[in-house]
Amino acid sequence: MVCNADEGEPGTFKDRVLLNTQPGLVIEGMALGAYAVGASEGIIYLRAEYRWLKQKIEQTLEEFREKGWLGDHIPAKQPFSFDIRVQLGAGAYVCGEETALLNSLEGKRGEPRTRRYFPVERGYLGKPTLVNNVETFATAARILESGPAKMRELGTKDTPGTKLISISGDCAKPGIYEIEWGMRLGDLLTLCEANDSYYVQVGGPSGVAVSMKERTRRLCKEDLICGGSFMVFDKSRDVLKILHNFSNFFKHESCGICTPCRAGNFILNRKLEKLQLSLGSLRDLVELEDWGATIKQNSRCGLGQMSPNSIIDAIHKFSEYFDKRVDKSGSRLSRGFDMEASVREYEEAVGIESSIDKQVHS
Amino acid sequence: MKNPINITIDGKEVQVEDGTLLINAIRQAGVDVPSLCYYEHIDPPLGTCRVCTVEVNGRHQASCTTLARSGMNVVVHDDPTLHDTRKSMVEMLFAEGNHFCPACEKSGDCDLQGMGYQLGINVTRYPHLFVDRLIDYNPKRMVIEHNRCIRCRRCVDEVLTADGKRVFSFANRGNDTEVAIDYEQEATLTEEQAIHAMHICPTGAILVRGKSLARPFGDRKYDIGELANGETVPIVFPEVHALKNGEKKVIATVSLAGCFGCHMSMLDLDTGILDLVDLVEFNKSPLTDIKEFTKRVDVGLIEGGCCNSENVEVLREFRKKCDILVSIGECSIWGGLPAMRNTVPLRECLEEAYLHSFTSENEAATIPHHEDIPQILDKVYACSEVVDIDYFIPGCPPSANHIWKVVKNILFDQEYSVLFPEFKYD
Repeated sequence: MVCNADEGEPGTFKDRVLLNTQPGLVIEGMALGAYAVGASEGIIYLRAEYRWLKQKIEQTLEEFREKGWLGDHIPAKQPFSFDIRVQLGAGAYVCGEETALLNSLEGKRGEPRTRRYFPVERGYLGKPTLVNNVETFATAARILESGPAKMRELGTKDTPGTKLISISGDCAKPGIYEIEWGMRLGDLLTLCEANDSYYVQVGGPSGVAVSMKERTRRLCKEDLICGGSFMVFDKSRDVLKILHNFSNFFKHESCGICTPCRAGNFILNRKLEKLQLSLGSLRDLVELEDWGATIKQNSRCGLGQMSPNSIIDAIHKFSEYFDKRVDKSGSRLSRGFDMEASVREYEEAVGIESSIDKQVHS
Repeated sequence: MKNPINITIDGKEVQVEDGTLLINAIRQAGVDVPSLCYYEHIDPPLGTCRVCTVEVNGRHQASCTTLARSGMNVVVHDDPTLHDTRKSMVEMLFAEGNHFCPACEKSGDCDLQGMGYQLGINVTRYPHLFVDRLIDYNPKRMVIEHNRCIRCRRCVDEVLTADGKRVFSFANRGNDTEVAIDYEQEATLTEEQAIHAMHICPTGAILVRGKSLARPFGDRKYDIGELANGETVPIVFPEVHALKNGEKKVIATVSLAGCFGCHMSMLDLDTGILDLVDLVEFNKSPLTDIKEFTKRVDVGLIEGGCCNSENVEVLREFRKKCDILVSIGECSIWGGLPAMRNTVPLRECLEEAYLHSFTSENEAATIPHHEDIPQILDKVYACSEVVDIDYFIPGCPPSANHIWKVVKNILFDQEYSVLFPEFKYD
């Protein structure tokens, strides 16, 4: 039984708040899960950046042990043994992917496994392993507390219940919001007092880029799924800068194992740099989309498969922005080559060299 | 066969053993699927390069990491976009690394290069990244050429010492991911093991000192030699009546940052050139020594990339005056050998060449600069990075037949095929 507390998606901090304010709820959820599947060993894989939470979690674990809710002979219909330890990650985003997380737990390089077995078949050290998120365990405990019927009253048909959303960015009231699934995007923006929104990134950089034309869309499995990250950007932000920032993240956080994700994200990154310098043409936008699709289709794990999402979305949804940023003349004479910029280094080298000359002569 | 199951490969139902690696099942069925990192001894397979990607039940999957299961619907060649996908993976590897084939010990024996031939890559759609990478001379017996590493992971999983310890490992992450070598463990490898490591490397990234050139040039895995009958394909020029209104087609040529090797290759037509001049006339070209365009040109042939401001100006002039532009040779296509400097800052290059070289005299040493001489660009650019290029003819240099087959096809709208044995890029 592994609790995935490697909350790495930029813009999400709900797990941090849960572990900081209600670690017992998560532990309770894990114990209930262990009872259900017959697990005896539990691990909380805590991201390295949350190291400061370790002591608090361990203290809570100790309290549970003292009360007999963890350890040997936990009182239940059928008494069972289950204990939990905390293991720290080493700061890689990809370790949020469950098989990479298992590799990391085993002390190996954090990289996704080939999908021959699911973790529930062969996971940690080859044993069947259930990997779930912090919020999932906390929610499991709450479902049992309030009863599934109560949860079903909330949310939508396919996504009953509530969801923790981490709201950040250009709004007056950023923070953690617990919403009912099915809430409209516009209503959530109003709630957090984001009045001048232009671009919202739902579900983090690997999620969906949303424009204000989509205010009536609903946050739920049927429409706009959200893992928890909700980043709001207003008109003062530059779309390409946002995308380039996301791209930098993927370029750095790819595990480097498969070609499309490692090389592809680097290539997209360079392309975005070219667009930022206003050297892009319509063809560059088409290529970004094509190449993004190649990365999505052929990457080995979710990281690569999701990484170009925001770029592809944004090109479609913010066409008025990109129209202003690219050369649409279709000229065959220039493919975005900037002569002035490319001779600058030479001129500098020559300039400095000639000033040395002067020193020598004087 | 213990547990025979039926799967469909390109519409044909075949029987395979349940749980066979899909790549093997496909090959057993007589269908060709390319692979690069796949190495039969390594289990589970690495699944790193993604070159063996096929479509399984509508989704792209690497066939080396997928197990054949009953009822699978596999598409390998029926959808041409899949071929393009596999090709794009190899193109990414070329764009990501610094692969200067003419200067590489493994050229001709290289799996990556061979895959390039096999998939018919003549230009990478992706711009080359030109990242400065190290060449590690520290290991006792080996040289690790990080410029050429494609991170296939073969060496990591396959090369073990007598104690079963790993010699290679993956270090860093993202675009900085590289294969690290444990110097202590490397020193314990036997000569035989070291040479094995060099051979399983699909590129020239692992070299064993004193052994890397042991296999003579000309006796190489991917050389297929001449046509079966030992003769080369004669080039046949179209009859003169193919010309509209009896007017000759006009060709212009130029060598930018190139070595004139491609122009030499054009001259290799020998007496064929006499047939050629009945069909075409040359305008601006080193072959005619016409310096300025005097008329509109049908096809412009560009050798070399752009390393200075004059190259860019000439190239733009060609784009203005020519209906069709063709990049000829590696330098024109992606920078080629001159682009070896792209991983080094320009200032360092200039200082090394003009100020700190053995032959520069301290007092007189200067980096040449004058308003009449061109300015050097920060890096060598592919022609397609500067203007639109219509066609690419790969090779270093492409053979005369190869060049003229393509050009005459373009000029006279003819069907053509350049036969596999005629390709020799390196």
